[in-house]
Amino acid sequence: MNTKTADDILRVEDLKKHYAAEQGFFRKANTYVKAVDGVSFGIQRGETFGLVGESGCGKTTVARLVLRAVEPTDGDVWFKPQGKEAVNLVHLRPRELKGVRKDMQMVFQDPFSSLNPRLTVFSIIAEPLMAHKWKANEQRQRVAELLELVGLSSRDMRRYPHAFSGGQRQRICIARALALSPSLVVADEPVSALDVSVQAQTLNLLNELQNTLGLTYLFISHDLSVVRYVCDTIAVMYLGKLVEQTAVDQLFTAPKHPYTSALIASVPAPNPKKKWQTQTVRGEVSAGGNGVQGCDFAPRCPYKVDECIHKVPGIRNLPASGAKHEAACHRAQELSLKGVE
Amino acid sequence: MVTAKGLPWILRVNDLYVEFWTHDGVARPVNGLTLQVGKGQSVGVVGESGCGKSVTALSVLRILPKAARISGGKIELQLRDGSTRDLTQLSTNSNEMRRIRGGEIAMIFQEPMTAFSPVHTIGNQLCEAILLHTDCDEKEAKERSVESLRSVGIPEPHVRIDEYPFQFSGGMRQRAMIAMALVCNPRILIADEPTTALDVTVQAQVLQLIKQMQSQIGLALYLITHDLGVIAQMVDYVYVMYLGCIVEEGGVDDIFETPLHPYTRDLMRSIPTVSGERKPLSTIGGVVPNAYSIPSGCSFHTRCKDMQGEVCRSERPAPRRFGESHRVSCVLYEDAAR
Ligand SMILES: Nc1ncnc2c1ncn2[C@@H]1O[C@H](COP(=O)(O)OP(=O)(O)OP(=O)(O)O)[C@@H](O)[C@H]1O
Ligand SMILES: Nc1ncnc2c1ncn2[C@@H]1O[C@H](COP(=O)(O)OP(=O)(O)OP(=O)(O)O)[C@@H](O)[C@H]1O
Ligand SMILES: [Mg+2]
Ligand SMILES: [Mg+2]
Repeated sequence: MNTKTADDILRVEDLKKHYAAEQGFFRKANTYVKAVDGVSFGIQRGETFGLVGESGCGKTTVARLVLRAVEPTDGDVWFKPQGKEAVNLVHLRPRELKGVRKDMQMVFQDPFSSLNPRLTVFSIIAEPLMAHKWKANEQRQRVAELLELVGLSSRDMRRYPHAFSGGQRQRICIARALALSPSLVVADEPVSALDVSVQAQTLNLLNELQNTLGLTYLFISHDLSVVRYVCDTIAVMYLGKLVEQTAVDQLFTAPKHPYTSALIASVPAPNPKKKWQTQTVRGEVSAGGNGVQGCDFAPRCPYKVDECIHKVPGIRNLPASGAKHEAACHRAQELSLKGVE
Repeated sequence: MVTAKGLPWILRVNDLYVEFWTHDGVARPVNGLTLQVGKGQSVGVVGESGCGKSVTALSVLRILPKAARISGGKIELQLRDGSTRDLTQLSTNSNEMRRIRGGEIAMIFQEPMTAFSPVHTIGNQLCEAILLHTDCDEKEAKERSVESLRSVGIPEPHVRIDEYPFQFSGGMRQRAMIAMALVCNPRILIADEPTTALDVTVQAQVLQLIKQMQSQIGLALYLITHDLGVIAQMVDYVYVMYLGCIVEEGGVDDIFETPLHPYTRDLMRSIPTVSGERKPLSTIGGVVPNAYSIPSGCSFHTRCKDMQGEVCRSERPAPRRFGESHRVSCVLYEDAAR
């Protein structure tokens, strides 16, 4: 999946991360957990790119690879800040990496554990500024500005994290991520730990900030309703691989991979009159990775044929659909799957 | 006395108060809460984080932490033999309470690992529960354990029964927990966020399984969740909870079609949906006050878009009836109520 659009801010090519599995009761030695297994995508400047998939499918690992918080087993990560040359992060030395890093920041899932309880809000938000040797008075001014930007008050600077609610803490995390004016923000389940009402506030804030600051988001979530609401393009991940990728409306109205269609149908609608599909797929995720010959989803897929069991499906372009649309399914072209009504 | 749906009740919580005594003062997570569960009925409880959903459930089972005490109200349970007990009057460790837990009321939790001991096999834990609650001998208990795993869709139950919890996947553990909860044929199942940790496809399977078990053994379901989608699909009667009391209750269609309380309406509007438009989500203003300082009067008045002034600050609104089974506690409806 690597259409080389000139204005891609990030392009990931055939990215892999394999962990040596712990030897245990069931695992033989020399097996690997293929947390990420050949993922490619491009993110356009200014868009929100969503990565969805069930727990353990490798979403966080992709985020960490993109920021080079972990070293990839294989693959490339091209990053192109505004007006600069694209660089392959995989080959950068630590010093060079620091320069690039201020352009890409991360917001984590858990606003409770990602803030150091012993630091004031000022120290938390100013930390990246200190690392880049900002002057004290500039730091203070910038932190005040950031707090206002995320809907808190500059007076909150002197307080400690415990004095804030979950939603407010997530705002502090967002303020810290924005301190050095990054162009790419990687948000890993930024609203999953938040309450419905606070979740709405935070999603609205992320949208506003994108509009005013021209940010690009890599937005990770397992909640389809949330990605539907914030993303422009969506990639669906299953057991370390992307199985489908396209524009948000296209994905929800005309999914081409049976897993995507099952995900969409399984979401219970907040409307008692709407029928709920509870038997969309069989069983559960297989342990995956090692020794599977065909499509990873085949054991659960209601549409599988012989080919699916024997041959790994490559990624197919589905030009018929107008928007760019890719799916890794042998039957992507012939199946007509259901999306949202 | 029957429930709003015309079913005879089996669990009735009446004007319940719970307090926590901590270093920071007294927290009051449950404040005059009233709800009931009918025989075989599916009841849902919704509300924001911290509003007291779990504390209420723990009170019913009398498994509150040490720092907590029930400071008022009744929790009445109708036993199999037709007699009634006020659970607040039983002691936590009494034999009777032990028999009620698991035998009459079972509970499943958000994190299935907490329901199992990591050092015993799934089979041992099932057998132990059966031996505690029935007259089965060990051989029968073992057979029943295998059967219970089969009934929740675990493949090769005679093999899996000798495995340890960590050998089960997330979805399988959740199924095993349901098997464990139901193995002694309770009459009420309290499910506290039972599927939050699961993928939507597995969530759908697990919830469907609960529904099936309900129709098979006439089980009542008391479902706690903040996922309004799950509520809409799973229950027939809904309680909306805010800061430890019920602000609105009604049939699931009433609550979703004509939510009345300003809090319920805000809650409904703030959820993104898969089929929804991409416009800014509406939000509930302000922050949830904490359980240490519950606002006076209507406790929602500090965030309410329809605040009517002094009356909301000083008077706690009484529940008003709307039609068959819809009730709301809000001054906006004082006059309109039928
Ligand atoms: N440091 C590590 N060592 C070994 N295995 C790892 C490591 N980090 C992740 N994994 C494995 O890689 C897989 C993907 O993990 P990852 O955290 O990326 O999933 P995820 O999609 O973010 O899941 P979630 O939705 O639960 O956050 C999992 O099977 C996990 O156990
Ligand atoms: N062990 C405890 N000590 C002190 N206070 C507690 C304790 N447990 C709960 N509380 C108080 O009770 C309130 C209600 O908690 P509860 O767990 O019932 O919320 P909930 O509605 O289940 O929320 P969630 O949706 O997050 O699970 C909390 O706000 C907290 O103030
Ligand atoms: Mg993750
Ligand atoms: Mg709870």
